[in-house]
Amino acid sequence: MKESTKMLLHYITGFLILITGATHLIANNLVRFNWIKDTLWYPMSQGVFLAAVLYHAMNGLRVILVELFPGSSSGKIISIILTVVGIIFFVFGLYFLLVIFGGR
Amino acid sequence: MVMSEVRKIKFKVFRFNPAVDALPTWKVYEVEVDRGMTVLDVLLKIKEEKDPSLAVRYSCRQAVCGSCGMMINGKQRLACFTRVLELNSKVVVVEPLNNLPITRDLVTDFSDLFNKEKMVKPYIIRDDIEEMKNPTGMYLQKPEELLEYLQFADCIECGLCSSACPTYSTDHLFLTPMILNKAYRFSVDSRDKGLQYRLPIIDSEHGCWRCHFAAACSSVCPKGIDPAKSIQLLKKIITSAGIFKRMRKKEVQLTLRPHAAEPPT
Repeated sequence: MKESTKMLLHYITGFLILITGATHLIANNLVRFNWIKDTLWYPMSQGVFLAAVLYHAMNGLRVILVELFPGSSSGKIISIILTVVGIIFFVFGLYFLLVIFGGR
Repeated sequence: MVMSEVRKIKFKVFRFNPAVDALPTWKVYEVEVDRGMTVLDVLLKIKEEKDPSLAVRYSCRQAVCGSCGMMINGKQRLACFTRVLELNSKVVVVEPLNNLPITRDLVTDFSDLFNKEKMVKPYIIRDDIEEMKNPTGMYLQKPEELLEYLQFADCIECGLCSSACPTYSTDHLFLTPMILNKAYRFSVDSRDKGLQYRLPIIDSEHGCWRCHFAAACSSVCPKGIDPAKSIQLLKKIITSAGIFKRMRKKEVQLTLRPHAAEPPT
């Protein structure tokens, strides 16, 4: 994947975090909007939030580490490790989301 | 009669010869400075009168060649473009540029920057090879097409921007503002068709996306260029060309020379 594609995804996921994070906060803190939790949109938005946060965080870490440890081989190793860590977190997160929302 | 202001100023100069010295040292020279003297004038005066072993690189003495970039009182400046009394300081600290290897004393090695510059192909690339071999006309630009890159074409390659760049201080593979500005200047030129050849370098892991827009480069540029802006604009054209496969650029048309033009029918 080209660097521009990775960074564009970084910006897009940042925007998605804003939207889905706001949905989560509003649905859980404003009584008037509690009904959002009963819709199908809410678990979907939490799934999107999980994926977006993980991509954004792992890519952010990659950018920091690539600058701290410059080198063509170190860049690849950093990317592979962070992709694996991200996938593991995503699988765990998705499992918990299915446990929480699966009974509906 | 105009009275010339003369003051005694202490110059704390960084001294280091990697071939001989284990560690760098500082030497202090007291110099009488008048109103018009630049830091370069003072360094040359020190070299002539006090210490001929001091190494300084310079050439034009008028902020055109970009040879005498150095750290003056902690900031990247051209020595020939910095008047001592305008610094308003009793002690002037002179060091070699940050982020670059030291050749000797105040002279730094620009090989890394010039090698990176070659990689981004800093010249106009065209695909009409036959026209390039046997030119029949000119690529006349409109004023608005010239304005697209005019500011960024003023670069004298002094390296002050790259020395000030916080990303380059940790990531020495980063292309640096000087090189990315050059890449933008040619990529946005209406005569150029070479962005696709520059993309593999500028859109790489250590390319323009590693710029975090600290804008330190723009604050030190002696020619008033805004390299931070050119890098952000470079990101924009890469996104358009690399992802959406389109380049919002007016391409200049070949204008035939009068003698080569077809007679009107």
